[in-house]
Formats: sequence, structure tokens, C-alpha cells
Amino acid sequence: MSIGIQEIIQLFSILFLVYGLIIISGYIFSAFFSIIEIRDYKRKNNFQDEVALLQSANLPSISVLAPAYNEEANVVENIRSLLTLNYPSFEIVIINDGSKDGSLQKMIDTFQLEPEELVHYHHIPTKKVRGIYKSKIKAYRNLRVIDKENGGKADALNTGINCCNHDLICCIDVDCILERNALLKLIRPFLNDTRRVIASGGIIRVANNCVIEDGRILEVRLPGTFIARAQILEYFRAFLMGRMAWSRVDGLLLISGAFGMFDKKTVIEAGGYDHTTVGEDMELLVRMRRIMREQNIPYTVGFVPDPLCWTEVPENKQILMRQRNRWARGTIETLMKHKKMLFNPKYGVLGLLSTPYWMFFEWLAPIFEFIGILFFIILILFGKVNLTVFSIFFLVIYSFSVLFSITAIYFEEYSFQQYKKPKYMFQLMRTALLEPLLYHPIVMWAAVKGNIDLLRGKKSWGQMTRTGLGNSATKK
Amino acid sequence: MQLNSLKELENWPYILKVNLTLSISFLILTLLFIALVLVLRIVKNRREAYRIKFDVKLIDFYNHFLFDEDFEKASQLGDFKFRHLKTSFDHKLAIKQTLIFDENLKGESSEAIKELFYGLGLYAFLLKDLKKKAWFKQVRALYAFSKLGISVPQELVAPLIKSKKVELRQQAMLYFLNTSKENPLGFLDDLDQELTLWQQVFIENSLKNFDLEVPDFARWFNHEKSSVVVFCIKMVVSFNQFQNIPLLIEALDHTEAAVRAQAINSLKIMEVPDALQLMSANFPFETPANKRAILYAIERIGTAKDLRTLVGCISKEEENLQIDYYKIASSFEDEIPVQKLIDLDTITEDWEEYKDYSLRLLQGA
Repeated sequence: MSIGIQEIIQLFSILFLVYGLIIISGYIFSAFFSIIEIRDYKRKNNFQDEVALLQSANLPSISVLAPAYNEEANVVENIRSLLTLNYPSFEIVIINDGSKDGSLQKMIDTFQLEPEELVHYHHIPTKKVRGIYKSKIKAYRNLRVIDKENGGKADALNTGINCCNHDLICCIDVDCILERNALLKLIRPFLNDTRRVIASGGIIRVANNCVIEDGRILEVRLPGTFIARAQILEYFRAFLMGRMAWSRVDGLLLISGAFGMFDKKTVIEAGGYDHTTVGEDMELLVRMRRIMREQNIPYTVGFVPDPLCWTEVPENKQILMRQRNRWARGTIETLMKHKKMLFNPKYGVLGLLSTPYWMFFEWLAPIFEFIGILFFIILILFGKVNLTVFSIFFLVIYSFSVLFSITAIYFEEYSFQQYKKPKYMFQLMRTALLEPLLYHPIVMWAAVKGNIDLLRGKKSWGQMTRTGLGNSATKK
Repeated sequence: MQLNSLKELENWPYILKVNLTLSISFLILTLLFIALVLVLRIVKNRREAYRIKFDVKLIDFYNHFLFDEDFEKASQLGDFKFRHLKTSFDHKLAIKQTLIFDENLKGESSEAIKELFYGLGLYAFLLKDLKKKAWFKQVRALYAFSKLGISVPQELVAPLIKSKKVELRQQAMLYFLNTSKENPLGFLDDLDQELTLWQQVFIENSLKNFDLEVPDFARWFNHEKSSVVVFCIKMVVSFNQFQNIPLLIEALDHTEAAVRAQAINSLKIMEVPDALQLMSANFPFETPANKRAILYAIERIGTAKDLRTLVGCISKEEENLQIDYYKIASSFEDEIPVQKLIDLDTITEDWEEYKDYSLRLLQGA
């Protein structure tokens, strides 16, 4: 028995080491590609004059699609903010997804909406559209509100795609705060490539505790709670290090549902958002890329690292867990639907790098971690834990986690330096020291729970309560 | 496996040794990155403070140079250059300030700015950059030369128009455009790659600020790159070159769908009803996107009768076109009574019946 356990320990240790080395190598490569991409982006954009873009009558028009469900409290303020975006030609399409509160009436009253002809395309099947509204006021002539039966976010976006007028669509969360030049920047990949650009995404930033007035970020502040600060580090790692690197090798598999621009024709060809998954944003991009690849059409996906979209992150443990549970289920569902791509050289970078990365790093990593913890508990029970061995194994994981977060802070300093006050920098470093111990176990467990829930057939999004990002300038 | 002291380190299993080495490396790297973050913050703050101070000095000097009649230009120029322009960063700040002054001042002052530019050695500094291999330095140099309208030896810029780097190609185009005396779009002749939309926007912007006569865009209607043709068709509209309308009508028969689409759009904006006959004749053979564009051209410059002649060319399967037809027919109000016949939820099912009805009306009209 004693020899058996010894051998198992040895085997697990080797597996742990190999897996750890793969993970570490992946992160090092991603950091390397990211820094090159950020440097190139900075160089490319040193001499770009946005005035020329704003004055042009030849820029493609954009339809901004924002689904809204029970957003009565903030919907008017959010629409006002969207209407002030800087772009020569765009329409705002709000899709009221069968809200049970007074969202629709509030929009009708505030913007003096009146029904217009209920005629629209049927590119993608959706729930029934109950009405299409347009404002009587000239200042809001680029606002349209679509009222439909409740069908979820994916269905609402599909309805928006059917009803909008322009060939480029920008899908956003209605409660996000967009920088004024967000559309001008996000459209750049579409303008500056001779290949077909099917989508472009931007970096999502954390708006909690920032000073906000009239839907604009006036001052970037660090959130007061540890849980939100830890998410800032996570977003740095995910966007500044992860997605920048994937963008460099043209292997992006995810454009955040909170803010992304798409070529409507390709979205329609792909069949629109899939309402049967909770990870509809990732699934759509993977499907679009897969179709392009299968049809041998040269294409690309763009990524803009400027901070363009600010969102509120959960500051409550339960809500955070629900969100991460859903993200885990979305990832697995997407990977399962497109399992044909995994390790398939036919799909190039997507098959050989992107999908395996998502499988090992995003799907399986929390499960391996969890098994590791269970294994550790078994060792304790059998009295086989050696303090020195444990300490060294713990130290290597901990030191690498901290290193990765500190590197992400360095990337932020090098690129956009949004957190100007020195105290914020030190607070973030402190968070990086505590995050692996206090925050990471929560998201790991949420992801494991997501796997379990998926096996049990759970399909719902789960309640996502937000405190709202209203005016906070007066709260200074 | 009892490990009680570091002396026993040598006897440790290799896995522990590897992990310990990795841990120590990560900790050292962490400290290094913390130091880098701090250094970067300090360097950025210092640079910013220096920039603010230096900009004040530059602005003060530029103001004296440009507007103070008692200012001894030649001696002060040399003195400022010797005392203040020491590093590459100083030169970059001076170039930036020069561009700001140039943008805000015209006429004599603009010439004085060029004098400053040469006198402070900024021309030589940028020329050196242009000769370097680093694309971003070449872009920076071309950008400044182009904005200031300062010419450099042709052989340095000409090859860049064919550069693989899209940014470099763009700046080379804008350089040729802004420094040209008579043929601002001459570079299009040498272009062997497609124009991106981004480049088109910036070329258009520069053309709008071009002081001399804008060229006849029809010259490039037969360019081998379709994006160049599309761009020129757009520009015919932007610069109201009505004399090119017959050529735009000819472009409706172009082999490239994108060119035809732009021709349809331009003729719509220029309101040329004479083009409708050819558009309608081409309608059955067009791509779905171009069919749609033709319908919307009819909405703007045609009549209900023009629209009705196309109803027979829209098949039962073309649901999106039927919807477009319906939308446009609605704008002709009572002339085309589609509403009575078409159920919007099942538009395709009613289409054949509607088509027959509409064609009968047309024959009777």
C-alpha cells in the first residue's frame, strides 16, 4: 500500500510538473506576443488623425445593437450616452427583450417614440417583433427601439440584426459606458485591411468606483473592494496579455459580448447568435471563423487595445460565481459544438493553437486544479504530506501567479496607464499578492460548478444584479 | 523523504529541485517586474514634466521667432539649437510643436515655420530617420514632411509607395499628394496594391485641403486595382465632376461588382435619372447587394413605374429583395398598393400573386 501511494505521488508530481510547464510556456509566449503587438499598435497609431475620419462622408455606417431587459432604472441615461458617440453615420437600435418593467414606456415617453412600419428582414429566425419605434424628434432620428417577445440576449441581438439598416453592426451591453471615439477606433480594422474583416473587438475596462457623469468616465479610480480589484488584474491579464497575443497570431476566439463589431453579412451567413448556448458571443465568433475557413475565404479578426468600453463587474461573491459559472458553461458548450476544430490542422492556428489553448487553459485548468486539491486532501488523510514538498509546490504556483499579475500591471503601465495615482499602482500590486489566495479559489470553484451544472443540464444565465453606473461626479 | 535541512538539498528528488529553481526564478522575475513598473512610472512622469517645460520654451521661442520683429533670428536659431536640442526626444518635441504651429498659421508665417524647421536641424533629423530601416521612423518622417509640404529626394520616397507595411504606403501616398505641384494623385499610377478604405478616407481629406486644382478622376477609371476605380468614382461625387457622368454610366457594366455598386451609388447621389434605364436592364443579372442598391436608387431618382418594371425580376426566393421592394413601394404611397396584398410575416408566399397583379397594372398603365 505504501509503495502504491508513493508511486501515485510520483506520477501525479510528474503530471503536475508537465502540465505546469505547458501552462507556464503558454503564458510566457502570450506575454511575448502581447508586448510586440502593443508596441506595434502604439507605433501605428502615433500619427492617426481622427478629424479626417469624422469629416468623411465615405465611412461605412454602423448599427449599434443594444439588447435591454428590465433596464428601466438606467436605460434612458444609457441611450443618451450612446447618442453622443462620435461617428459620422450610425443608428442606435435598442431591443427591448420583453421587459417586465416599464423600460419601453420610459423610452417612449422620454424620446417621444412613435410606431413605424413593422417591416423587417427575416435573415435569422427570432421571437415575434411586437413593434418598431422611431422618435418624432429630429435630434433622436438615429434611434430605433424594437419591442419583441422575450427570448434572451442572443435572440434579441438576432432581432436587431434583422431590423437594422447598416452593414456593420456593433453589439454592446446597454449598461456599458463607451468612450466617445469608441466606434471610430473599433472600425479601424475594417478600414485598414485588404482582406475581409469579419469582426473586431476592444478591451473591456472596469468602471466600478470611477467618476462618471452623463455616461462618461471623468476619472478612473480603483474600486474599493478587493473582489473588484482582483477582476481588474484578471481583465489586464485577459485583454492586455491574452487577447493581444491571440490577435498577433490571428487566433482570437472571443470578442466580448459587451462590445464588439461584426460584418453583418458574415454574421447572417453564419446563422446569427445561437440562443441555445450561454456563451453566445464566443460561439458566434468561432462559428464565423470556422465557416470562413471551410469556405477558404481570406479573412481576419481585428482587435483594438485602446480602453473603449467600461463595464461594472460584480462586487458580490455570489454574483461573481454565477457569472463565472456561466462563462465556464459557455466555453464548454462552444468547444463541444466545434470539437471538429480541435487539433485539426485544416483550421490552422484555430485548430492547432486557439481551441487547444481554450480547452487546456480555460476549460480543464480549473478541473485539474480542483483534482489537485482533492489529491492534496487525500494525502493529508493518509498522513503523506511532507511540509517541505508541499511548500515548494505551493511556492512555485504562487510565485508564478504573482509574476503573471505583476507582468500584466507592467503591460498596463507600458500601454495605457489608466490608473494615474501611484497609490493605485501599489494597491494593485498588493491585490496581485493576495489574489491567488483569496480570489482565485472562488473563480476556480465557480468554473468547476459550471462543469457540474452543465452535466446536470442547466441552461439558464442566472440572475445578474448590477448596482448601476449612474452619475457619480457628485459623490466625489 | 524526511528533509530537514538545506544540506540535504542535493539528495532531493529532481522534481523538487526543478520546482525550487522555478520558484526562485519567478520570485526574482516578480521583483524585476515590480522594479520595471516603478522605473517606468518614474520615467514617464519625468518625461511628461520635461515635456511640459520644454514645450513652454519651444512655444516662447517660436512666438519670438515668428512675431517679434526685433528678434535676431539667425543667431538665436543657432543658439537655441545648440543649447536645447540635444536629444532625440528634444527633436521629436520640436517637430511636434512645429506641426502644431504650421497647422494654425498660414501665409508668411508658414514660410517662417519652414525656416525654423530647417534652422533647428529638424529636416536633417527626419531625413536621417527616413533613411533608416525602422518603418515607424520612416512613417514619422514622412508624416512631418507631408504635413509641412516639404520635399525630400524622390528616390527616398518612391519605393515606399510599394512597401509591404500599410502605414508606410499610406504616408508615402499622402506625402506625394501634399507636396505635389500639379498631379496630386500621380502616385496612383504606380500603385500595385489595393487601396484600403482607411487610405481612401485620408487621401480624400488631403484632397479637400489641396490648394491647387483637383485632378480629373476619370483618368483612373481603368486602373487595374478595382479599389482605385471605386475610390475615383466616389471622388467624382465628392468633387462634383458632373462631366464624368457618362463614364459613370459606363461603369454600370464594369466586370467588378464593387465598381458597379459604387457607380450605382454615385449616380444615385448625383441624381442622374438617365442611368436608370441601364440599371434596370442590368437588374436581373446583378448581385443581390447591387439589386438592392438599384432599388434604392429608384426610390431616390426614379418613379413608381420604374420600380414596378422590376417586380417581375424579383423571384419568390428573394425574400430580402421583396422586403426592400415593399419598403420602397411604400414610399411611393398610393401608386403601388402593396400593403393590401402582402402579409409581412409571410411575404414570400404572397409574392407570385402580387407580382402578377403588379405586372397587370403595369400593362394597363
